[in-house]
Amino acid sequence: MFRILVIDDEKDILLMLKKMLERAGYEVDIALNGLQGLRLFKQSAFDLVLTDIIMPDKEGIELIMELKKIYSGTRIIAMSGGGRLSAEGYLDMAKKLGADKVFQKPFSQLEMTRAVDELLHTLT
Amino acid sequence: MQTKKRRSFLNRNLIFGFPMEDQKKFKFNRITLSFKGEMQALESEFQEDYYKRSLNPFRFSIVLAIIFFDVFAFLDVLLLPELKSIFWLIRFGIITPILLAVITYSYFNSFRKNMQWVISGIMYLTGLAIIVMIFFAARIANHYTYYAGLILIFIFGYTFIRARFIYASIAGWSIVISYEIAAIWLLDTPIEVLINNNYFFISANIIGMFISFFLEYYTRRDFYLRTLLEEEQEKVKSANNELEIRVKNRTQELTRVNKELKEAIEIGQQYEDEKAKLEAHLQQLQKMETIGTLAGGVAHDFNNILTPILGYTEMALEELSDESTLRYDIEQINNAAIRGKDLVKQILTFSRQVDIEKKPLQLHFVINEVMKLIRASFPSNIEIRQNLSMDCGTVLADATQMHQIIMNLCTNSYHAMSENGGILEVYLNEINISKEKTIGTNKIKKGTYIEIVIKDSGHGMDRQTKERIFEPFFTSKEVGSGSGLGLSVVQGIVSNYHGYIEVESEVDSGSVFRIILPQHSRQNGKMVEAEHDFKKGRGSIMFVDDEKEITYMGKRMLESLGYQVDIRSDSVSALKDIRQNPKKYDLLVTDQAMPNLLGTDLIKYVREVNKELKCIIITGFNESIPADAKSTYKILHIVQKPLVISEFSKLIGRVLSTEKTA
Repeated sequence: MFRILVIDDEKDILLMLKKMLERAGYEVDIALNGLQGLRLFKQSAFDLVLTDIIMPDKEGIELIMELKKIYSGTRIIAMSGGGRLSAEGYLDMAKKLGADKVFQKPFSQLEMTRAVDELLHTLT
Repeated sequence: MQTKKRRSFLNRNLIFGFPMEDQKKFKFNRITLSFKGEMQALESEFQEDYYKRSLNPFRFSIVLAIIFFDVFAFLDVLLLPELKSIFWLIRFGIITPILLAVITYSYFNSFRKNMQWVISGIMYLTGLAIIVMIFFAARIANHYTYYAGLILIFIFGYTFIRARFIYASIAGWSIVISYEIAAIWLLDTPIEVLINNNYFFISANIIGMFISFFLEYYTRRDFYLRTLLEEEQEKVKSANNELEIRVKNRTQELTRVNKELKEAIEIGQQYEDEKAKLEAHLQQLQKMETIGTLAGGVAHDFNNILTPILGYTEMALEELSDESTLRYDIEQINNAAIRGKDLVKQILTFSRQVDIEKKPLQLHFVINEVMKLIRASFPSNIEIRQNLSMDCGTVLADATQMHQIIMNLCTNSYHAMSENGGILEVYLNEINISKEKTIGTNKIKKGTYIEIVIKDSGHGMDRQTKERIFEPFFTSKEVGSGSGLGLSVVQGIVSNYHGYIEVESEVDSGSVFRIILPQHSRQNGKMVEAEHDFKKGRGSIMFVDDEKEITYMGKRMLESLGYQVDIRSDSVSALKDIRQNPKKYDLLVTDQAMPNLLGTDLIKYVREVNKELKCIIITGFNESIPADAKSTYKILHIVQKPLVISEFSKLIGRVLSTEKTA
């Protein structure tokens, strides 16, 4: 079974994604910020990291860079609802830094599960 | 005080009736009396003046001379009757005709030049005539009293006759000399008579010279003073003129200064007004900026809130069976969340935080696309006119956004004309802005622009409304008809492209919206077609509404999108058609409130023959549809009137391409 790490500072989104992905048949761990996520990532192996961009204590862009440093093959999906910059602005950056797929919030269940499926199936 | 008086008296010490200073300047020849030195230039002027002033006195004196000369003829008869014939010959035969001739001559022009010679000539001639008479009187009658006549001649010659001093003197002395010749050599005049006569002659002659001298002198002095006076008058006059001119100039200057002051005051006033306007504008900008910042933050939070809502509702819908009564409710939550998502997108557009894809775009394609949709949906009492220049080049813009702004403005026009109808005019032109100009705080650089004009004849706006229409959340529509983001979004998009939008409007005379966007390229060769959201669809649709107008509109609209459309205004005949050929249509779009057969009833009967036919119901504002109708009759969507074309066409596209009737 594939393991997915989901990182978002919004608890509601975190729990929703956990449920969504578990329903799709994955094992899901969650973290509330980049720092926590990084700690979890180091402790155990994950097949995919799904992370928000704007978060307290290590935001997504920095996290992506560090994840790629630890293991350059890490599969990453970045998501953002925008902020001072547009969501596209952040997501472009994430993509350049190595995120495999990016999502603007809010997204549909179909889009998300399809993207996760695709990524993990290319892995195998 | 006294010294001053004395000095002024001294200064004005008169010599020959002259002020001393002028006397110094008054220089003349002591013999001829002609002006000399500085005054020489005055001589000819004086002579001309003297001639004019002398002419009439001269003629008068000649007439007087003739009278005197002829009156003395009686004396001839009385004293010397034997010489009467000779004397009368002299008086009447020679002198009188000569004098008359001279008077005549005085009327000729050449007299002007010869006057003095003629005067002195006749003085001498008359003198000679007397001498001849003296000769004859002495010789024949031994009579010596006629010499007195010469004295009269002297009196005449030196005074009345207006001879100048020098000419009179020459003539006078010539007469004396002639007398001497006659008296001494031709006559044997007794010595005592000779002495006696010479006494008289010479003293008369000398006195005459003095008189003549002073007469001429004063005449010249008067002339000189008159000249001075004239000069002074001239000076005074020119001083006056100058003064007048200066006063005039000064007045003009004052008028000018006054005008400038007035203008300055006006400019000051304008400046104040401008300042107030700018301040208001700045406030507006700050407000916008704040809203922009706020919008960014709100968008972020909103997206985060919407994400779990959408996620959970979608998951919930998956778990619910089709028969579940919850299904409708949760679908409504889902729809609301999607609407929320669109609203966030709009807010971000307004605060310019949406990334867009700029491509060279020929606007007439976009406008034509919009016009097609509009023609399909506008009621027939709105006439649509368009004049789009096909060769005004391209703008660098996002097609969807261009579509959005034109659609938005046209929709506003529609709302303005929905009650009474009218004319919607749409123009596309290339324009040149030759001078940088400022509109509000936007600087529009000179260059070539593309202008979109959207004009309606609707109810227009008052000034207050006009000033606020570009503010976000401002709306003149009834609450519920719009979010109020429309025009502020349009303005956001336009200024993102370094263009500007302006509006002219008056109450009851319609509105004109003018958008100006910088031209990207003049090139038209390559076809740059707008990409738009409205994908050409395929499929066959039955459209049912009891209002014929609406069915026509629906037909036009859906056909323009590429569908095959049959329309019915009677739900019973629609049902009949579907029963006859149940598989003919891919989609049924029906109004809910219809006579005979409601929309839901129509679908209920349709289900008897076709369980898969996709169905959409359109409802009016206050019409209720039984809560379970949707799942019971497998109605895919229930759409609220008024139809938003873009939304509706998207929905139909989606329904026909993907969704299935469960």
